[in-house]
Amino acid sequence: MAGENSRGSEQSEQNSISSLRKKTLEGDFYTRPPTIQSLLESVDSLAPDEFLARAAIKSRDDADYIPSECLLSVLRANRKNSTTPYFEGLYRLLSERIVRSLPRADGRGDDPINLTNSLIRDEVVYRFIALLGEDCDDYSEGLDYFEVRFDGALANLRRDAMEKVYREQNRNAPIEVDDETGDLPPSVEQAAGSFDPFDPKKLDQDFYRRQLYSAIDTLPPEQKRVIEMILKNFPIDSNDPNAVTISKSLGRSEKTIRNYRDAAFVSLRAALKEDKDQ
Amino acid sequence: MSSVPHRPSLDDVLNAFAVEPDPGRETLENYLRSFPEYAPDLVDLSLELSRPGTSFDDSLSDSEITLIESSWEKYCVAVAAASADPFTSLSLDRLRHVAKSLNVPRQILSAFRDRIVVVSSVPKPFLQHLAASLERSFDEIVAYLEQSPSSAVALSHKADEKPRIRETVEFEQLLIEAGVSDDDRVQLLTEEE
Repeated sequence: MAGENSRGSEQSEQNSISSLRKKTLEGDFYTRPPTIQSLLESVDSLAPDEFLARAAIKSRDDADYIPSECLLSVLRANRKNSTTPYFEGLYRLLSERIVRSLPRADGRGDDPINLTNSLIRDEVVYRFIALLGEDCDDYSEGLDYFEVRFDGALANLRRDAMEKVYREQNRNAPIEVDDETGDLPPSVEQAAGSFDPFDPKKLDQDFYRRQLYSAIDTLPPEQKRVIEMILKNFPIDSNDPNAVTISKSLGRSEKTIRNYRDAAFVSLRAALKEDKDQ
Repeated sequence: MSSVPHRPSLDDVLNAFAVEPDPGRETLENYLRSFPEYAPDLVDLSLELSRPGTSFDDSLSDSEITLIESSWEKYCVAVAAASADPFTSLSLDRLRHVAKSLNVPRQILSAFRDRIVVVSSVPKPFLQHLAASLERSFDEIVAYLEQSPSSAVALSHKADEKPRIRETVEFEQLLIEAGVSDDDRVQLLTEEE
């Protein structure tokens, strides 16, 4: 599917950096993005200390920044030497990046720990270790995805961990409403009102976006999906039978989707107001 | 995407979507059209892909530092365990490949993994070939096989009986139980290198 994922065998076989083994849905081998492949070739000759110093750079805007795809590739290339300080250094830098990419587990106000985020965070980290462990003794094709697009593959790991944690917590919609026929109480519809959490001006602000996603995390799964599809500008329903709609994708009536949306808006408004008040 | 040869699994579809260069609205719509049965998971993933990126503004909390430490310790323990067990982390593909190169059914390798073979009954050339296939030394393989049978996997289950640890079996008997032909058995049991 991805245009850059066709196999670049000539490029890969001309140097010591190994090719990826995972195949795309079309049956071609995945390849690293060209920028990652060239960077790997250029850092191949760096001494361990030099590479670690560059991998410790945190700003993506820095010219010497090492993307996580590249950091992981170097870590995998050294997997047979996992007892060396170099490998440990690489591991710790990569772990820190993973931990920082996850929703914070430190809560707010009187609730110092967000238990759900804490469970998700631990689940993601230990699943990643399991992949590294498999890779150490043999070869874990699952890690190939992380070399193609690290943030995307990590997002998928996070989604899977969230699904497991939510299932264990038996998260259900907190608002009582009959999915197909019922109406929300008028108070909820009024509270949702003209509130627009997706004002483009606000969404451009990094701080607001982080607050919004933290608030979305508190919603039940069905409401989260509705919110994500609204954010991506999918219509709730359509007269065009070929249109991809929220109602059709999630297998719910238009009325139910509107109820989910209104209930979600009420929760988001309350959560965002709390943030503003603090 | 239109030339997908077979119906891919949910995991394959999600992984493919996750590494798309531009997993925005258009890409999500394409995937929802192609794989409507996976819509809820695709939308969940889309939300995760849209989440604001890594923030290095704040310092790590104590619990995050502890997690990194403990994950490193767990990784070291897992690697140490794997290095002692030549069969751990062998992928199914690799297991198939090793079995094929040794000309034995996979269940023979399972018996070796579970250490239910009498080591002294295995010809040295076979052990040498096994060691080379697993990228281990001859002595490492012998030391592994001489340990007690693995209680976790060598339990024998029969109807109306409590599970019991299976006793070790002669190599030839394992080959017979696995249905290895007479000719192949003679070849596998040869002591000539």
